[in-house]
Amino acid sequence: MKWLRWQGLVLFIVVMALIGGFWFFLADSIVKHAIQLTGTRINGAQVELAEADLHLLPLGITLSDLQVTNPDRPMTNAVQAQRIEFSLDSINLLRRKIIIDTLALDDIRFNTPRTRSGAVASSESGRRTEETDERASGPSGDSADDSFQTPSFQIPDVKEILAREQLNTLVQIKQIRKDIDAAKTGWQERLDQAPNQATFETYQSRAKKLQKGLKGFGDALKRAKDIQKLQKDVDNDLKKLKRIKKDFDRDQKDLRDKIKQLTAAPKKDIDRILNKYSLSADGLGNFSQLIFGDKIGGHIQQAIAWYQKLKPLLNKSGAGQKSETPEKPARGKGVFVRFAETEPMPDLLASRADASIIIPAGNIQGNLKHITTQQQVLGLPLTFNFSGDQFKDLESIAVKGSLDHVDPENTRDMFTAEISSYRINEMALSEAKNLPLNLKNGLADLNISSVLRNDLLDAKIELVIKSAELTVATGVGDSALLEAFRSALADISTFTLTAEVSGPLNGYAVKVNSDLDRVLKQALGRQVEKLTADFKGQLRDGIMQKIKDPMAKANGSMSKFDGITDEIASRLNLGDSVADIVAKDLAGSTKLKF
Amino acid sequence: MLTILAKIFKILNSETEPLQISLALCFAMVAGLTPLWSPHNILVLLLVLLLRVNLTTFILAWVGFSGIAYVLDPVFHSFGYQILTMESLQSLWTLLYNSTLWRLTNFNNSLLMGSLLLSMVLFVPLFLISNLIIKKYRQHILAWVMKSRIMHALKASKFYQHYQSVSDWGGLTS
Repeated sequence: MKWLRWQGLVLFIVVMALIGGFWFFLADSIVKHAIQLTGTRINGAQVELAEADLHLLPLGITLSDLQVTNPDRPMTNAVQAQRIEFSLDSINLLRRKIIIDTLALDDIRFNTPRTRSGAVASSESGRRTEETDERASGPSGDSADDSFQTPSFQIPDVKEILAREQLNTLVQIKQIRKDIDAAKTGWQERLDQAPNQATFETYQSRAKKLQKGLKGFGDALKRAKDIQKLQKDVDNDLKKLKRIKKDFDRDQKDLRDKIKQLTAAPKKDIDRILNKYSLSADGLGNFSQLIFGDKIGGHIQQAIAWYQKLKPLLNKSGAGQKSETPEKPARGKGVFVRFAETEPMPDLLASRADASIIIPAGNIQGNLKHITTQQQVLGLPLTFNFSGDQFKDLESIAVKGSLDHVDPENTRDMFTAEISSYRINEMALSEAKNLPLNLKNGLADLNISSVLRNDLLDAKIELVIKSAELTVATGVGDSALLEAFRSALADISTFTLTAEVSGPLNGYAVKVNSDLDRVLKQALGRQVEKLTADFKGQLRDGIMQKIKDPMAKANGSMSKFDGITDEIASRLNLGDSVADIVAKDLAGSTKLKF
Repeated sequence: MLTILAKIFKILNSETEPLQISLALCFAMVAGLTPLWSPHNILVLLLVLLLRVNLTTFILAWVGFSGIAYVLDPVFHSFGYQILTMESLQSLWTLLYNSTLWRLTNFNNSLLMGSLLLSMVLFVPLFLISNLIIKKYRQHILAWVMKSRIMHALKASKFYQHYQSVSDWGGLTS
């Protein structure tokens, strides 16, 4: 029996050629779809490629028009690259390692519009989008709302206030009138019990009787005694009346004092209400925080969202690392067990990427070094450095940084950016409905320096705007406030904004300071003073109007004592005349006629 | 279905050498149990085409073994992983891992290692046992089968007509 059939060898060659040819002609499509699928899975939104061209000599790939959708804005590409070209190390490719010496990234643009939505319907991406939105809600829980809280510069309605507020002046008036009525009643009662006209008429008749002729020495002695008693009785009653008058005068004085004090009561009411409904510019001490805090927080949040996507790619388990007990693999896949390499190389490495980025001002050139998914293996951090100058609306820009995850337990990422003399035209600084603030013109110098150590962020952003022309558009709500802003901002031509960001990525705090704060607070303080004066005037008028009648009645209430005053005086006069009679007329009535 | 059964009977009852059928069965086991797109399967294909093994047996058995592989997948993975992580073999695997040629074979894949190793271990026993079974079948059962009522009934059936129609397919195996 012959064991070999040579026609089988021919068939083998034909089969292999067919497989090879089939793969070669479909390779471009395979590469394209592999990139799109993997990119979309990592990005959470569509990653699209117009064309992928695999060339064999030298082995390399050229990608055309790569579009990476922004997962948070599916109608916008976060990044778009016109051309990406690189050569592959063939030998390492056989070892399942993608090693690229130089990668060319041409015409990269950010935030380009898409013709159709790049959203993906998977539940995972949806969840991630929700998470992103949640994170984007702000570092300290403040939502990036389209309005923010500002102190109200509307003068409160005085009528409403006076209808709601109880005036102490009125309370005091009521009390005084009550006191006057009580005093009057009390004095009436006391006068009823005091010596009156009848009392003194009795004394007069007693005096007349004592003026009759004496009937002897014994009668003279008795009369003298009676006269003394009469004198004593008259004196006692006079003393009583004088005490009553004294007490009455004192009570009247007290009541008059109280009425006098009423004149100061309205002022106290005005001050109290003014204090309660006061206008203040204190709330605008952190104006820049209110205006820019959320905006800066939003940008940081976006950066963090992208960082969180990139972070897992920086240090995947790889060559030279002992495999842990694997999870149950997908059926038919198994797991690749790794062993120590004599010359460890990452599974993916682009030693250098030269990139040109197109921004509205022009082109920026730069490079990225040590792009790998296994920094632990490579032992070098990813670095990037971009710069450009002589732009149309920009003097210079320099961006550099590094992502150091060589030691996954001690990561350190850095980012610095310097932008000089960037000409700004019509930039919305605040889109808050109640304060739409625009920078119509300005020259901006921006410095950003940030360090991220093990997810602990420490960043400083300094923005200096020169030749600024700030405008406030027509907003919703407090027109007085907007007017105050307009007036204050009209004089500002240069301002500095400093933001300090610190804390963990999932709960950082943004602290914003600006010299705008002082200027605006002063301007708004003047506005507050003016409005407060107006409010005070209206309040005074309202209160005085309200207390006018009660106050007049309170003053008139003292006339209720006039009758009592007269009565006391009358009784005292009568008492005095009786006392005179007793003292003068009865003085000789005890002498005997011999 | 009838055609497939007919082919099986054709192969089993052909004049093809039992060794050629057994060898086809063993190669089919290797190709069927291990992941299809593995470099070693190129070698298996070359051997299957170059050596005078029964192609029909190979194809049919490959389909059958692929089904078995699907069922035994977790066993292969577990076995392969144990082999690859065996302490005493680490130096060997490390040596192979650092060789481009060996890395190309995907030997460090747990599924491939487990299935390939098991199929290699079973290769010779399967070859001998299947060879013996085919011989015994032809010696003792074939005549009885041919004379059986069932076979008579089959000969009269459409199935037998299919069998006859494919009887020339084993040209390469002659």
